[in-house]
Amino acid sequence: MPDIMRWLFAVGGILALTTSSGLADAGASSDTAQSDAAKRGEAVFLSHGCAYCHENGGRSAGKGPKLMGTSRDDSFITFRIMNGKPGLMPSFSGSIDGDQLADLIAYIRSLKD
Amino acid sequence: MQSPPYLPAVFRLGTAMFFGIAATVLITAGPALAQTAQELEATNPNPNDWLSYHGTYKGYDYSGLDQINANNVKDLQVAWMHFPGKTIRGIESMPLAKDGVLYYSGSYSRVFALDGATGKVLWTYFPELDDQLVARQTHSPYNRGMAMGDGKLYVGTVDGRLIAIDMKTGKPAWDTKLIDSEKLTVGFTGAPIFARDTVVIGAQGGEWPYRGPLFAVDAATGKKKWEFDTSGGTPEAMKTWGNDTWRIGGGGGWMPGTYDPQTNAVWWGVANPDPLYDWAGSDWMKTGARPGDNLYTSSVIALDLGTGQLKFYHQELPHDNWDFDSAIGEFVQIDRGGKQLMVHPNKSGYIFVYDRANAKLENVWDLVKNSNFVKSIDPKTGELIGRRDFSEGKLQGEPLCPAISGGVSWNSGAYSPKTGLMYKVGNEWCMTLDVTKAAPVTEPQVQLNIGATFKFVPPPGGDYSGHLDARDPVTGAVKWQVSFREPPLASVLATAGNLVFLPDAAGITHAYNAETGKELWSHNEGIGHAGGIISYGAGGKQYIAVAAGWGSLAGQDYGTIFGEEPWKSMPIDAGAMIVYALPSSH
Repeated sequence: MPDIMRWLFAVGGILALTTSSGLADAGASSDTAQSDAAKRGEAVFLSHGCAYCHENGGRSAGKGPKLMGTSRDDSFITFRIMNGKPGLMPSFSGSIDGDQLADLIAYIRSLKD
Repeated sequence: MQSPPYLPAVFRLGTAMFFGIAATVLITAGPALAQTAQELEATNPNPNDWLSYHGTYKGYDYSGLDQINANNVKDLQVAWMHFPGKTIRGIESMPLAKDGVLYYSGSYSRVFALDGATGKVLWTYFPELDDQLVARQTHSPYNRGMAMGDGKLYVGTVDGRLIAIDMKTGKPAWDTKLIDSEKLTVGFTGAPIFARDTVVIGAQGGEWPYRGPLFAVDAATGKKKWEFDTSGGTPEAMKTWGNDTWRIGGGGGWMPGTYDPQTNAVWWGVANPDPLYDWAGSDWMKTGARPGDNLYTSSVIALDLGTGQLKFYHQELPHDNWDFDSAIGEFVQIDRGGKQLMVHPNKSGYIFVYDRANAKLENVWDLVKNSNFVKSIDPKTGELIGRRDFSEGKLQGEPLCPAISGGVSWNSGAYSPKTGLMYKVGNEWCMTLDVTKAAPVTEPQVQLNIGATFKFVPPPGGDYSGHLDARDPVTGAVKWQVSFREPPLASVLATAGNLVFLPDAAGITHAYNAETGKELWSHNEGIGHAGGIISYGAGGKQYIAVAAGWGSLAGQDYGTIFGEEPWKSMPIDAGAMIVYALPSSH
């Protein structure tokens, strides 16, 4: 799949997740869904080598920035994960699909000390 | 092309004192393109040249030139500079030199041939790479150097190719694809070696779940001669991986090995297994992510040059659980007391001394102060005593020392046959560890398999630091030591001028008295170093070539660890080859 298609798919996935959260009126089922997504996202984080640069599971800076409490919006995070940054971060466009990307963002948003 | 012109008297005299036959050496280099295996195997190599990654097969990172010496190094000044461009992650390579021409590779395997006396560009070669693949690689796009032989340079690429380039024209002679990097993610960043009629190169590996092969290629044609899988590469080795995990064991050999003409053996250091950190605890022989010793990861192996068959090996860290490769570290060939020895630093900071005939252990000593991954290593048997293995969850007790970047890193040390000392950088840092059970990803593209999260912390009761040690390479006895707040990440050069050069992480290249460690000269190049340094002769002058540029993986932590300038603003996309010489008045 071309990178742009993956990216659009990913953004669509995130919007869908956000929209569904809104419709659920931030109820208990939404919390559970987010929690499940964060758990799946943690597995993606650990199995794709993210911990090599984002230390302490993303709670601390290392080679890469601290992810916990990031002020970046979802579209920025999506763009960075899918495109990388030369010399600093690889692109995961060939290895992470839209669902995994949404889970990964849920994990980043869930991070606490 | 002719041999370099005659050298000043003092230059010849000093060289002769060491090699005994300086005049002969200086006029027998022969035509540039007749550079052959004989030159690489010569007992008394031409000191004007730097023919392989460590200078010669002996792995000394030593120059026999002494025009620049302890008496006059204070006058050393920049002779010329070259800016290669596209220096993402700086310049990490070791230059080569022959017949007055300096050759070096930069990021993206871009190759340059420069007049060694003036810096004039003679030719360049920029291979076309798979940019989409490069963007997906963690350990990319740097290149750490080339091999030279048979009139060609040999350079690997991060998209899995080995390319031969005509040294005279800069035109590619052949271009051989060796690895399916599109699937495996990794390619070649380390320098190959040239031996007789063969080029040998090791793939990146370690934390990527595959089999980390070494390749031998015919130097004339580019045709693959053999391949050796460092993860489970023999029936014996497969038995050391429970559940057939050798299929995704990691390994690889991402820095160059060496060649011993006496035994026709290619010595290579093999990287760590994956995942880096196993959750098996003390029961790692039977359970966990990769039960068993995991041969030939974190081992030194010797392969027959002609066939690729394993001749002998020593596993420095059975079931490596700390990311302490044997892939880093030079192979230093020293003859002492009637013994032919091979000295090899392991990433843990322990230095292994072997019999060159069979890799039988002669001694083990530790370069770093803060080390608790084992209590010790038996210097006679190599047994790891009091090893720390991990269960799932947070590490209890003291942080793990050294940290993942190693007690030593891949930057080479140097050995001076004049002083009998080895000059080597040690790193003092530790880290927290939280071991996890993560499934390896092999589809659609192989991913880094770490098996833990971690965070750098200072050593207990101290602070981060680095040190340049002058030690006896066999016993480890300390002659002198220079301390650094930040561990230097560039290689060391020793010269017959009684000098030791070290470019540091903050951007300053230092020259020390090789006997005493007294600093004699320094120059701020304005950017950190994480590459090579050599000395060569051209037009009757001695030059020191320093690869300047920042952005190596280990260095990428410095902004966080040290938290201040110059690290916060140091660019990772700038670099230059900076060449020094004495002024003409000398």
